Amino acid sequence: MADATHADPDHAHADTAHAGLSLVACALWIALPASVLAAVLWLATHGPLPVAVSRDWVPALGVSFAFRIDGLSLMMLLLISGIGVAVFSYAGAYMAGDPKQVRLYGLLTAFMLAMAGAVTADDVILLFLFWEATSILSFLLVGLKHDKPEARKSAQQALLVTGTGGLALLAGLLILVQQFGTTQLSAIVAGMADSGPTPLSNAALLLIFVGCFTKSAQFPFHFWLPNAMAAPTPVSAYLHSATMVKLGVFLLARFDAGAGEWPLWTMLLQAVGSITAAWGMTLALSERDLKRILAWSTVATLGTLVVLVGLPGPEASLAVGSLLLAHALYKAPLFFVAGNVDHGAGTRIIDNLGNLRRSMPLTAVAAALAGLSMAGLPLSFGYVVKVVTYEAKAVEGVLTWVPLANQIFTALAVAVAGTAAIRLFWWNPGGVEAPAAHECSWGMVLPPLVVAGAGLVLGFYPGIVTELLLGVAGAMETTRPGVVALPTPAEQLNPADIWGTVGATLLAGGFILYFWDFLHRVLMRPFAVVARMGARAFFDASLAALPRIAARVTRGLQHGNGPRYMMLAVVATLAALAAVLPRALADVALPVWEAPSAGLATGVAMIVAGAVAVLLLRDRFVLILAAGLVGYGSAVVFLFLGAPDVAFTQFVVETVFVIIAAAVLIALRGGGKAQVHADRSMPVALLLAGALASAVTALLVAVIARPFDPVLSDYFGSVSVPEAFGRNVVNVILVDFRAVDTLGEITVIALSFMAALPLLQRLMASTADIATQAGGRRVVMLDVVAGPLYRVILIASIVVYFRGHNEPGGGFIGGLLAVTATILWAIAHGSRAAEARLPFGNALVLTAAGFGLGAAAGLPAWLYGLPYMTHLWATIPLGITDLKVSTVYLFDLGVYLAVWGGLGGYVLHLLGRMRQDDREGSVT
Amino acid sequence: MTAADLNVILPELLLAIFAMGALLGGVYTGKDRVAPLVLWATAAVFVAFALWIGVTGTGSRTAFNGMVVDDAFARFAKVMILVSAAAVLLMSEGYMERRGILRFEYPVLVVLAVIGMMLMVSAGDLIALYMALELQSLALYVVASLRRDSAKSTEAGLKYFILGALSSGMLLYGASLTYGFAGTTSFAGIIEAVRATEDLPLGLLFGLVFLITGFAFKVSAVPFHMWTPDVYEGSPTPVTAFFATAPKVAAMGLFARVMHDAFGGATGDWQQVVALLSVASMFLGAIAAIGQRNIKRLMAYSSIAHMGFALMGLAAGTAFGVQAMLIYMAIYVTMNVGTFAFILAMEKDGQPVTDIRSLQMYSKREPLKALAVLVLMFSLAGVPPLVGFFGKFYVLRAAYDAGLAWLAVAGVIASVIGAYYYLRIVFFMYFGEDREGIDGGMPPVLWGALMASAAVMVLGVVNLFGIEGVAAAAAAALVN
Repeated sequence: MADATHADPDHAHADTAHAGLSLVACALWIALPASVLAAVLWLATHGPLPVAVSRDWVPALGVSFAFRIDGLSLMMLLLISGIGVAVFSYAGAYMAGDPKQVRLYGLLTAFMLAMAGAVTADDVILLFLFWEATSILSFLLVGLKHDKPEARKSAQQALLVTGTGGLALLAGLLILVQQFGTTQLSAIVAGMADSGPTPLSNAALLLIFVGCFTKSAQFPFHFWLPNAMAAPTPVSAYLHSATMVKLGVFLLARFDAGAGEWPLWTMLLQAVGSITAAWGMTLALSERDLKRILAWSTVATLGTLVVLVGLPGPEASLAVGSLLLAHALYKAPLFFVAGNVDHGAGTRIIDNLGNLRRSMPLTAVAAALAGLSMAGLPLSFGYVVKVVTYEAKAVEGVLTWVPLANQIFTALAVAVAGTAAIRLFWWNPGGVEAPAAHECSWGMVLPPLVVAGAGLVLGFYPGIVTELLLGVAGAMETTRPGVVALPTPAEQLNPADIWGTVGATLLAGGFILYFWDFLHRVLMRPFAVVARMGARAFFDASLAALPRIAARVTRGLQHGNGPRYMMLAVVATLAALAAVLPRALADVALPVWEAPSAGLATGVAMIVAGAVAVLLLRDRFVLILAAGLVGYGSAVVFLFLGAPDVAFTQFVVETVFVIIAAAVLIALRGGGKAQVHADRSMPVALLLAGALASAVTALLVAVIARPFDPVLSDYFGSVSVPEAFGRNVVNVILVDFRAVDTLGEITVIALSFMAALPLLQRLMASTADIATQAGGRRVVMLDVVAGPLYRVILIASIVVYFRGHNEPGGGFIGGLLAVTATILWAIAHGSRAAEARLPFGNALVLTAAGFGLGAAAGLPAWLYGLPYMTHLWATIPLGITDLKVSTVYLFDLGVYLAVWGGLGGYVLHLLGRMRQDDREGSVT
Repeated sequence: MTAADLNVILPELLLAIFAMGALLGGVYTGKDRVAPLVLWATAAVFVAFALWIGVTGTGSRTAFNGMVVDDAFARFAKVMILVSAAAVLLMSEGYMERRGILRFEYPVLVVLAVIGMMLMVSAGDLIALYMALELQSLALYVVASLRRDSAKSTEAGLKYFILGALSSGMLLYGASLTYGFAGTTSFAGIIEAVRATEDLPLGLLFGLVFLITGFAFKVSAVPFHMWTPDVYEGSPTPVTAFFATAPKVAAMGLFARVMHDAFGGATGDWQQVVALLSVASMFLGAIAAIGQRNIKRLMAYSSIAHMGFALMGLAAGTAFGVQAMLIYMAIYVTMNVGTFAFILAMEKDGQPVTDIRSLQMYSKREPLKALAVLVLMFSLAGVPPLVGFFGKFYVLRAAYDAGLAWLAVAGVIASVIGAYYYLRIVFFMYFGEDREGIDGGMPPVLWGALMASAAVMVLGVVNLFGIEGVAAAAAAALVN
């Protein structure tokens, strides 16, 4: 503990820097809580309660700006503003000269407003917003001394615990909203009272409990509060004793009118509250830091408050109000005292303190006043509370251990009060040489004196607050309790009553105070054992595990490996398919097995061979050829399944694809290896591919097994001849029904070729040296055959083009055939020569011409007032047979030329550049 | 092809003409020297078009036999797309100029992408959908690898392209199946086929599955999200900012449009799938971001998580769900513009910095900017009472109302986990250890964007700037 004995480095002493606020500025900051206090007091004495205002906010969500002040709200407002004035005043002196003072004031002010909002909101969403705002402001206030690691950790811990609890609260509130159809808090509470417990509202209640327990540091969420003591003293006094931590109790009290008699309510609140009260107070024994000792006693008091809320009957409600008030009046001064001791003596560790009354007399008086009330001695307000609490527990329905827990709590409270008031100032059990302490400035002495003094005044004249307390009780009960007389000073001094109420606890408390250090030593080990298993350990462990889990997830999924990304996509698709497949296969009759024809078998064999080869081979060229095999195989399958035109197209497309891909590879060879890496993940890939293939097969089986919906094929089949005068449905669709689409396609071919041209030229230029080796030799045979073959293929392509409308064929296939002819010529004689043989002698011009022709073919109809691309037909009688001419042929010719020019140009530039460089290379 | 048809797509047409004009103008004049001019002109045109569409558009119109639809939903999305694209363009100028990557093609490509996006959200037909999507994607592929001399940037572009192509393929497969079994490519026709039978015909079901797969890629929903972090990290930061805003709106809009306009009668069939995507995205986005130190990667995961939340609205399958989704997207885009304005200004000695640890104690040096970032981070995390919370609240409510309580619960849990990493940035800025961090300066444009965005997050609490009613009208136009 030695490290903590140093003077707090963060609250700079007044004589260091003068970066803080002037007295006037402080006064202005203080004016705000003071004016709120004035308003509250006015309301308490004049206004008929409750006061309510409401305005629409987000109508779609049913959220409104609704506020309502009743007795309970008024009590909370009084605490917020009253203690606020004290805290703001204290902070002026405590943080004097500290550059963070402005930030502190700003945050405190914001916090005060949020608190005021939270206790007056009559809309559950609004309430939740303010609730979370207090959590966030608490986070910022606790972290004010961010240069200390424990302050940072505590700030985060407090926010995570209360923030998460806040979400549970929201969930609970939303369930209630759903159930009662309104977001108005008072209406919901009234509704709960009418409806009684239902499973759903019990579930909502549990969620609300989580929110309230985290906020009010109830077991097992109690651990964050003492850690939050890393905050500056004014913050601790304000947030973590007087106001924010009471918010949970406040909300429970709000619901008391609605659910106060439900079994879940009374059982759970009494149980959790009494555990917190007894255990929290006991944990105070594990501390040596005065502030942390006080914090544990706060936790315990909150526990007692929760028990009181859980108790049935108006007496308990009255006790809640009294304890709320009393606790604020003695605990805030005690925190101020802790701050003063820290400031004046340079430490808060009780081992190093003693006999401070001489150097800090005024603080000693304040501590004594507050201690009196905390210990519950007669003539203090604390005693009044004890009497009221005693009566509250006299009702039926109290769990057996509640009184026991209360005994532990009160005895230890006496000891804690004694530690703060007696041990530090009047006693010196540790035999400490009196530290060089000094009394603090008036700004730090007056607030505790005044607030603690108020506690004493109320002890003498409890009648002042009777009306206020009855208001609280009225808000917590469906019916307002009758007039209750709080004990007068004379009654308080009745010896028999004193003994009955506080005698035993006073004795026990004195005993504990005397043996505090011994008990501390004895209990340290069990405390440590419990701490290892407790909620805090769980919290820390899960917080530490989160980044680890995150790192693992990220490593597993985001490795940057492209092929594996693809795999994941395949897996996901598979999963989606697998989800629907059962439904698809539910009533499918498997197709009857038929022995395939030899042709079909050949095609399938080719596909399989190609696919397997792709997996096993490593050389890129061979890979492309193997991939081509798959395409040829499917062409064979089409051929034997009665789709010769598709087969035809497939053959030609595959050929051109293989040639282009090979040409690209040759061109790129300079930059890459010919071999593909062996991929370690291949078995997995194989498995996935197999699975996907099976899924798609199953899908196909399922789809085929259903009656085929012949809408489309019937339509095209029936209108093909009468409307478009063609029997080849595929071609008719391409050039007539969907001619604009086809025009789009050839546009793409033309444009992509144009765009690729400059790139191709640049690419080729950079890889010229490799091409030199590739194109060095000439094949004599090819030279001889090329001429006739070229012409034959061209003629064939023209035939294919012409018969296209009725038989397999068409402009597209014709164009592809012409491309193969051009390739042939380029291989034999060089690309320059091949390009020269093209119509117009230039691939680009040819492409443009084809595109222009295609586009123009649609114009005549348009000029006639028909939609663009409606084809016109004319019949020219030729005696024996009629010749049908049409713009269709014009269009198809355009397709033919564009394909020829565009694709041919691609290949020519890929291949040709090499030959050309080869020639140039041989010259130089 | 009548004048009335052309009138419907007039904004897109004019934009296309503008793009081509800018391209030609750039080529034949000063090339990259005119890039700033082109960029500013583009941004101005975007804003003008957004105003035009937003202010004058009324009612629902279709063109080209239902290929293109112009309704309140499309207009809402278009305004979002145009405004966010304009903001991102303006923010990128300084950054790109300083690094010598401001090419005049950049704004032109953005215009082309934006045209694609605008058509995506107005698509009324599978063909129009695919064309628009590809127009957008192709422009984005190029933009992603804009920094050609950087291996990371080119890798990003390539990955994006390959995975994008895969998704396009799936989408196309789905579209073909749908066409084959519905007998039409128009959404109006498809929905008739869908509603004609009690159970969705099998072919349509498979088509739907593949279509959703394709969309999931585009909105970067888990498990089709893999490209997102790599592309976000590899691309130049302005491009990342662009990726994080307009395309997300467009993809989401397209997703919603197809689900409701074409498959509106089969809500039960896609609801669960979308809900699963949503849950997976929320959780993965939240968890994976925790380990990130690179703020761009972090924002990538953040966007994945946010898409998960937006999908929650879609999963609800109701008009309120679509309204929630639109509001969520609007809020998300606003937050991201501000956040990226800050990220663009993160540099040290002129070099961009992406490590979040460089933000240590930023609040001490730059209190105002740190406060703005704090507001944005809290809003991104969905911390009340900032506007980001309302976005989350809307979608949670929509999911809950639609009977997807489990989804809402999962959303709440995911948002708690997700809050961790946003808070960590705040934590660094306010409670970090004091050490050398990033430089303090910030160009005025970025400063303005950051502050405006943060201000919206705070001031929007009052009434969400009246967006609620507009979004409701937009949703009503889509769902009926």
